[in-house]
Amino acid sequence: MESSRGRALPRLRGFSIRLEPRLDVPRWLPYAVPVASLIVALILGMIPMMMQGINPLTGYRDMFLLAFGSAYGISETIMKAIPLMLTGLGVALAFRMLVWNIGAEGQLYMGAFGACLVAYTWPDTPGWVLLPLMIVGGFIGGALWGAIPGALLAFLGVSEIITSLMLNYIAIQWISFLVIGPWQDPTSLGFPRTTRLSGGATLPPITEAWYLPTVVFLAIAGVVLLYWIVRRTSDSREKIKLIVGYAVLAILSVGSIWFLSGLRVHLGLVLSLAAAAVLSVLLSRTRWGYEVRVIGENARAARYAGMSLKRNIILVMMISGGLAGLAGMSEIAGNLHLIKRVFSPGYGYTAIIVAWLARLNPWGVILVSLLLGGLYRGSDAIPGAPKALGMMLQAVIFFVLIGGEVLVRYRVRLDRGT
Amino acid sequence: MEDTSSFAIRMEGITKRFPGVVANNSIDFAVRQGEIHALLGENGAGKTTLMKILAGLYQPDEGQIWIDGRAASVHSPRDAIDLGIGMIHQHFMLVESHTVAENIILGLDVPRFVLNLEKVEREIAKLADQYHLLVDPGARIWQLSVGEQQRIEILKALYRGARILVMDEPTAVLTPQEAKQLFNTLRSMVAEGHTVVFISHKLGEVMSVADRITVLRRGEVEATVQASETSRQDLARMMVGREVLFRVGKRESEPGDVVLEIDGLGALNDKGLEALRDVSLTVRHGEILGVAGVAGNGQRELAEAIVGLRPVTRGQIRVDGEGVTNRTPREVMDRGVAYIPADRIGSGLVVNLSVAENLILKCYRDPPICNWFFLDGDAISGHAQELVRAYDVMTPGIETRTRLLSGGNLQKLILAREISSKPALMVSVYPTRGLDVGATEAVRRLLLEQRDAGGGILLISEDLDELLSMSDRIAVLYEGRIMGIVESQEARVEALGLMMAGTAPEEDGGE
Repeated sequence: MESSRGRALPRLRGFSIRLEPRLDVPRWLPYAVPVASLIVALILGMIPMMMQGINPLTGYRDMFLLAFGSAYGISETIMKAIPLMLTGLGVALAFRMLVWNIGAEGQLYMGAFGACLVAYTWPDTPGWVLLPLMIVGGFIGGALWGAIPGALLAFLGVSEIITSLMLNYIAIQWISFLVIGPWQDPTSLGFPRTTRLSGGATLPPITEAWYLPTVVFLAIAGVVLLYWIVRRTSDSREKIKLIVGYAVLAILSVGSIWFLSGLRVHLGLVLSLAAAAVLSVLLSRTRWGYEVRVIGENARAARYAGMSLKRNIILVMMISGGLAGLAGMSEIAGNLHLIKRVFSPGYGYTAIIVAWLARLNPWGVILVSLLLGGLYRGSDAIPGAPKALGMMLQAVIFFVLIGGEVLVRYRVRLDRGT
Repeated sequence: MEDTSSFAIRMEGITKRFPGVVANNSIDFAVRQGEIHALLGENGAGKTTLMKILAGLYQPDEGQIWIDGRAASVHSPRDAIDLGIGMIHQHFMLVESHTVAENIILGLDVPRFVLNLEKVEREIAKLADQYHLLVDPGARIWQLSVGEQQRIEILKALYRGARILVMDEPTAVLTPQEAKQLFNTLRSMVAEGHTVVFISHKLGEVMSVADRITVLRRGEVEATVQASETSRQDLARMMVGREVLFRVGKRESEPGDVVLEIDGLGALNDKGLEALRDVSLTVRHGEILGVAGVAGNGQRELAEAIVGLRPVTRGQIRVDGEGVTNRTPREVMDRGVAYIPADRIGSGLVVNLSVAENLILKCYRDPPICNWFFLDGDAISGHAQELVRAYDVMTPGIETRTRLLSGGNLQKLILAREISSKPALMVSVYPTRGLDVGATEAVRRLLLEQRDAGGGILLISEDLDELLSMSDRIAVLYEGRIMGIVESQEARVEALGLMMAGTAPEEDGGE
């Protein structure tokens, strides 16, 4: 019944602008608005660029070319995108249930801690044993850090926004303590960093040697898919979707090995894509994903259906934190190969933007991460431009995006004043 | 007709339509200067809508309003304030962490720059004294009881110069003592020349405080009467309406074993006040037990306590002989208890998910819908298609988002889901509220079929016709107590109405 009441905005010379809730949202709108927001944000972003005396058009062109203009550029963009993907997936999952985990940054640090704890404890273990253990260690590190605000919210009703944010600072300081204290490299001449990881503890970069395992994987995936199509699916549209999906997967994987081999991109990319795939299946095809969606949409209906809110809040915070932990693990094991003092340029915070721009969709997170990864990378492009320009652009995008949300839910109407 | 200038409010031919419903249908409503006028009616009768139109929150589709004899157009709450109308909502609009005085001046244009809070506090204290509204202007809202917060709302309206005070169900959140105090305040305000309209569905308080009473039913004015010339029975009859829309063809019931046994049940409402006191009743297989009562007398709490959504403070609940007191909703559900909540959209459905996804809300954990951990898409759509067909749910498809369905179809969706679980007991709360005649009949037929199949049904309703035609026995709930349980064949509307108003069946007269 509230629907007839619009929110009145200030009147302008006989006109008044009214926001009326939309009774139904067209399907394309939720996707069009972020795209439009992005464009508007880029236009607004020209202002700080011009204030720095940079021609915004050449500025954007240079940024784009640096980020996406060469194989090396794309590889570096992907390097930035990997931690965004993993943290973004974690944040998106929590936000799906309306649990506002903004502690991905801290969870990333604790994931790095967990992974390195494993790596420094058994440095001489071969990679095929050590890396899975580090993945587990990284996941657990982030998951436990996420479990703290989760449990506080579930049992005591403490706002997870505050607690997860506060825990970021503790995690960052803990790492700072380690790198100038117990874990400091004795040969670092006082630099705040740890010893380099052993060879077995680093995520290998993508090389031509990957062709064989990839082809084997694609063959197995193809057989499973064929079996699935024959046995289960009667719907022909579903069949086409699966076949097209498989073809895209095959082309992308073989193509990206060819494209990226010899560059810096590492196994973390595969880890991120796998995480997106698992999360997407979990959310849409499992009992637990159904619970998460119901709780996120209507917690009272969830309680009515006998779902446990407490258990799910803690579980979701742990998985969300675990994914952010994987980001920390892959950043250390794949990119840096050691821990530095403040080694993340705020990936865990950017993850919030990523998740929101992706409309909390796992595959959307992958795409948006590549885009924002390009922004991270591209902001190095302009000579003389301050480092903060990239962050400023991010902030503008996020602002415009949230403003744009209003258009999804409301219709703007101009009334003649009454 | 009297001279219009003696009316503080005159509304004529007010019509307000919402998608699918006519909330007010050419309503004529007039309030004299200096009277307490009660607006009485069932939930959904259109009382609040009418008053929101007066307060500028809704615009009427048709009709005219005169305030103090002058034609008035009320386009916004600001217009209403300028006309001297103050509305006090069911949910208070106060800033919890601010003080009383800060809340009262919130939104006012004066003072423009320099805030002399002490002066404001003195003015408030004077005003409070005048109307016996005891408050400390410096106290912060969160420190105050609900009754005190309501006084702040009244003061807020008075401070803004309101001469006409509209109160939406003011006693719903009050203890009896606080309600009495409120009525004293209202009387002293009227004595000072103010006019009061208050919305209620409680017969007792309307009779004791109002000068005149307007009864609304289904969006139309049933009558306007002098309180001194009417009785609770008359009011109950006007409110509920006598004419029977239709009778459902009902077979003689064949009650079996007891399915639900409630013994000395006590529970609190959301405000922490006692909502159920020593409720005892039984429902047998193949029987419908109706629960009559004016809304807010413990019906919701009773239903929620049974299905495990509300903690039980005293007493026992047994389903098929097994104790389910204070068990989780899941455990109660597993004992075969289905639940049709009063609030369809708020808790019965997830309107942003598809029809198919809503139909598995109760069985998503069990095969064939869920194998191990994975949901079976084919099983889900098969299940949905079957239920949509069997229960005649009108939907473009099973993948349609549920929010696009009409009210009647939403309810059929819930019934389809709940009945298909073959429950031993079905707790259904206001199952036909807000539905049109066709959907109402469909819902009633489904409930009767469920009864004939051997299910026990606890039917909570405000609609006496529905209770009389559907139930085998009727229990009347008043202030959280069972006033009596009667065989529905022997029940008369007047007797039930009296019990709903708090008079025990044997006695005569008031409480």
